Amino acid sequence: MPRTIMVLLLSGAAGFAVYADLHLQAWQALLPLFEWMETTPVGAIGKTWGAAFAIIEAFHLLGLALLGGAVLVADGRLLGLCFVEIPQRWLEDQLHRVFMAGLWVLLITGVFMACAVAVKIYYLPVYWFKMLALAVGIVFALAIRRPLLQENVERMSPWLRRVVALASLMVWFTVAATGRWIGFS
Amino acid sequence: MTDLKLSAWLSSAIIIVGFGVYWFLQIQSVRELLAMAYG
Repeated sequence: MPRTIMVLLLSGAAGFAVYADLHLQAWQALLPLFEWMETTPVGAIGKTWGAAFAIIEAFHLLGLALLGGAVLVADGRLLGLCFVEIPQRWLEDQLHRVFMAGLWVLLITGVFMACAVAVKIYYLPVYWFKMLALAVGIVFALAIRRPLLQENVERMSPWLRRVVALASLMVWFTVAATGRWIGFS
Repeated sequence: MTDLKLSAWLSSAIIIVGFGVYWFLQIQSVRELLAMAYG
């Protein structure tokens, strides 16, 4: 049961870290890294040249549109809300490529944007919740959802399909919403 | 039930409950702020 044990261990470790205040210690230890990020050439460009930040942010939003669109269509199909006439497996394979492209764009542009405002976001609790949601989303999408949907989906319990789709929608909605929240903080 | 299906049930349930509680608390705090501001 390696995957089930991994889920239990990761959630147990996260719960223990919060209970034992380990997350606060980790947060304090990360301050020098965030201060250094602002001093890098990437951080300096993002900080001093507004147009560069705006252009990278535009690509970040396009990446989010790619990823969000792929998630909405794939999970909408799982819930039986759209594209039901298209075979699940084929649609899933096509959308996974779009999802991965969007994810890479988001990660690369996100690092650039984080360098420009590193110390500001370091003190924003919502930034850390977004990082948690992003990590959960990536692990869930690649280690659980993707291998599950490579099996015969039509023979799978409809409730399992619905629960997986709902969890996927919820986690990526949280990533997007907390991302916009950072922008307004 | 296979390991993959069990882990999918478990992780989905943790995500739905965990993120659901987070958004519930966020909405509650905004409601309290609005109540303090406008009664």
